[in-house]
Amino acid sequence: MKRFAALALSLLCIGCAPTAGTEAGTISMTGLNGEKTYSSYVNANNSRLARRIAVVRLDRADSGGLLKAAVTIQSRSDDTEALQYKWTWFDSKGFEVNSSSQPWQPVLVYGMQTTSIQGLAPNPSAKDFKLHLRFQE
Amino acid sequence: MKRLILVAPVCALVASLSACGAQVVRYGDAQAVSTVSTDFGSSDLQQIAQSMVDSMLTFPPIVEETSRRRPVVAIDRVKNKTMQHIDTESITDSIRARLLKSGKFRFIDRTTDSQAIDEVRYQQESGLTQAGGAVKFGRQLAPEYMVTANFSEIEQRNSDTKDVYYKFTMSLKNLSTGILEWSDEKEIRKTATRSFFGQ
Repeated sequence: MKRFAALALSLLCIGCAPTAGTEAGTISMTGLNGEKTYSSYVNANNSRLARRIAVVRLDRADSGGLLKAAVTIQSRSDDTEALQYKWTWFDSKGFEVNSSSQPWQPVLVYGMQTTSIQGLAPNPSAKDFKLHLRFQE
Repeated sequence: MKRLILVAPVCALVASLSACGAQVVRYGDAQAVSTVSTDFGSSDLQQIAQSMVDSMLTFPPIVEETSRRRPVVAIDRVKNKTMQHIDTESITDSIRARLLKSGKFRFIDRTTDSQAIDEVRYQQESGLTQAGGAVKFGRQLAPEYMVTANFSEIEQRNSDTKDVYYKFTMSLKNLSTGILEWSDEKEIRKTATRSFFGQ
């Protein structure tokens, strides 16, 4: 009986454990010249996430005066990862643009899949961006 | 004395349980992904608004049209074909706010026309406004485009799983030619599964 109670408690703890941590992690890109850190453009809130997801490409373009950004990520895991992402946009002086209206959005990345996350700046004053990634809570 | 010894722990237990049940209020992140239920929620609204606006503003003919001027647009009510009661005006409000903030479009708002008419009439008839300063009727700009939208859902369920598929379709219609200049869809799938612990 005691053993059953202990097992039930441990299962409950697993069920209640938060999947997203607060440990800082940087995300990197694997290139021919080795690892290159992209922490200035992509922020992962969790070192486990940084190990499981790699940034393979970063693109930026102008779309009628609005900055368009695309970050291509690749799963390094066999499992399906339920992630959330959010864009932050900055003006030419580094101030955040429209910070209150950028929602976290869900994205599923299947095992070893490469997927592109695209974002469009909310207005023409945005000149730079940052993509935040985290595990689904 | 014995009775007191028995009653005291019971009182302590009741007090601690009532403390556990006390309501705790805290501020949350309005931009967080909400997965409370499969019903239409705040995250769905935000995803739809973001997706539609990004799609419209990056569509090449729209980019070209808005590069020289800011067209005037009217926004129609969303046709809610779901089984849920949804404040669809909230969706169009979010889309309109994002489009306005992009600096690419201007909007007319028919929902406040009666208040506008009252105000113009008051300016003209009250005698309080400077001579010639009162706003005149018949000078509003006519919209060149209209945004229309449909919202539908397909729900499937069995004893353990509920699966809801939402589809939001939005179009931009040129009012003078009748041509749809842009259209796109946003699909959302939400699945609720009964867990082992009945959560």
